[in-house]
Amino acid sequence: MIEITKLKKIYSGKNNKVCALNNISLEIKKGEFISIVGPSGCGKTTLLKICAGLIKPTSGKIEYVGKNGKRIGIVFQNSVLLPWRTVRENIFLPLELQKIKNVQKAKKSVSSIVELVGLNEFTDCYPFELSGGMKQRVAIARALITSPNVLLMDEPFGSLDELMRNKLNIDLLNIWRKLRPTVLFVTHSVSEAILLSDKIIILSDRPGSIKDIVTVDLKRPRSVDMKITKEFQEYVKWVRQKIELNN
Amino acid sequence: MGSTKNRIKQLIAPTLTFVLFIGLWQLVDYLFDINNIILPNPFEIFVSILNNFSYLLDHTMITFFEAVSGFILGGVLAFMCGVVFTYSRLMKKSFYPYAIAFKAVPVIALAPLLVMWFGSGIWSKIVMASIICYFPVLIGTVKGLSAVTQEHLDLFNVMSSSRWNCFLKLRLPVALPYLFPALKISATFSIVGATIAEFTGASRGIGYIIVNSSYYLETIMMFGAIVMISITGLLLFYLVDYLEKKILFWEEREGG
Repeated sequence: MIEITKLKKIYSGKNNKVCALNNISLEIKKGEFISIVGPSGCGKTTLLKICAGLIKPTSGKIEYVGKNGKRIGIVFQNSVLLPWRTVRENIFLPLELQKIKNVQKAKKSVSSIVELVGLNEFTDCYPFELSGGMKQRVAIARALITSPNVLLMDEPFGSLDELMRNKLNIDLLNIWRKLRPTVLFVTHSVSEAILLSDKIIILSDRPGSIKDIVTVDLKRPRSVDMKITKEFQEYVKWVRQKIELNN
Repeated sequence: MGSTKNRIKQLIAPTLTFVLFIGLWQLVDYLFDINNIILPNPFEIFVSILNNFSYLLDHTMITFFEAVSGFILGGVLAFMCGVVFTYSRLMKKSFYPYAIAFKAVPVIALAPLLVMWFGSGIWSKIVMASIICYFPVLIGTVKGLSAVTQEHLDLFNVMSSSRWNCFLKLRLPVALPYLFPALKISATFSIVGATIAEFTGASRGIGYIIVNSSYYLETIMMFGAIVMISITGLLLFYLVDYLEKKILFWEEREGG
């Protein structure tokens, strides 16, 4: 479980202060799939980076409750692969950095992750030989290799075309169903958020604060076909209205 | 990609220019009957190189050795300074501006001083070459090591990487594409540095031959020495170029 209480983030520049996040309080249950949506520049990424421990909040706190503590995997909008490493070597990187003891076991886990994200034929390729979608699969595999209990994703499919995005959405859901990490997923796309999430957190314009939380009750497993159902369209309309609603 | 056939095709145009240039030179020399002391013709130079080959080669090797030693010395020192400047803001603030400013000093002017300090043996030449090599490599290192993106740093932070691993597995490989052009520049500069130091005071090396032949008006020998040292410079350049292509296999094909 993740407990966020009264989180506030102020960026201080030379002459001005920008309040990026204000009074964010949130409880995320273990294994939940949560999306964060909101207008550009509302602090979605800041929130994610604070969760990752990359940025310190100005005030408030974030707590990872539970016996496993926090093991975090992160996926950015760009795949951020190391171009001089093969797919396998890229996925292995987190284990390498953490000085794992059992190399044999680690190598095995790389193989099983590779299979899970559907990269079997590409393990010995270099990133420049892969398409954008494939690169993002590698990034996801790399995030999952340490078996994280929290997966943070910052618009991971933002630069992909519609078809590829749909496919990766469904694949991500399948992976999530198998490994059950808690997912925090930042996106611009309302329909993507609805398709994936249990809950959607809607942030307001700067300073970002929680405007509303929408629970998505569509049945699982979900499929792309659901997007054309009336129920789904209702959700889209509803969430859009809430984003655009003035305070 | 670059098949052998394509590569040969690409060589045709420059080869033609070369042949044309040599031919023209030969023709001008023949038509105007220019004095050998002023301008010998290519054929004479070629014959002279063949006749004095072992003599020229010995001296070329000395200059080559001085240049490469200076290249390695200056390069390693510059790289280490670059690393220090990347990790210590104070050091960078205090010294980097001077490093940049010193680049504007015509290093050639230092040659007599270096000969005074380090003698007319090979050391003054090595020091000269290393000074010349130092600055391009320093700037390349500093630029390269800070070329890493915030996203990559964030990634390594989330993976709780040690600083050493972050350097070795991220910053260094990212820096290589900045470092190699600097090394290529330095490779050719190192020959220049060594030769110039030889002009000022030496009893061996290509620089010595050039100065010495000028005393005796042996222009043909001078040209021979120039040809030899130019070829050496080119070889050194292409050696680094070759290494770059081998090591940075991902560079050419990125961003496609």
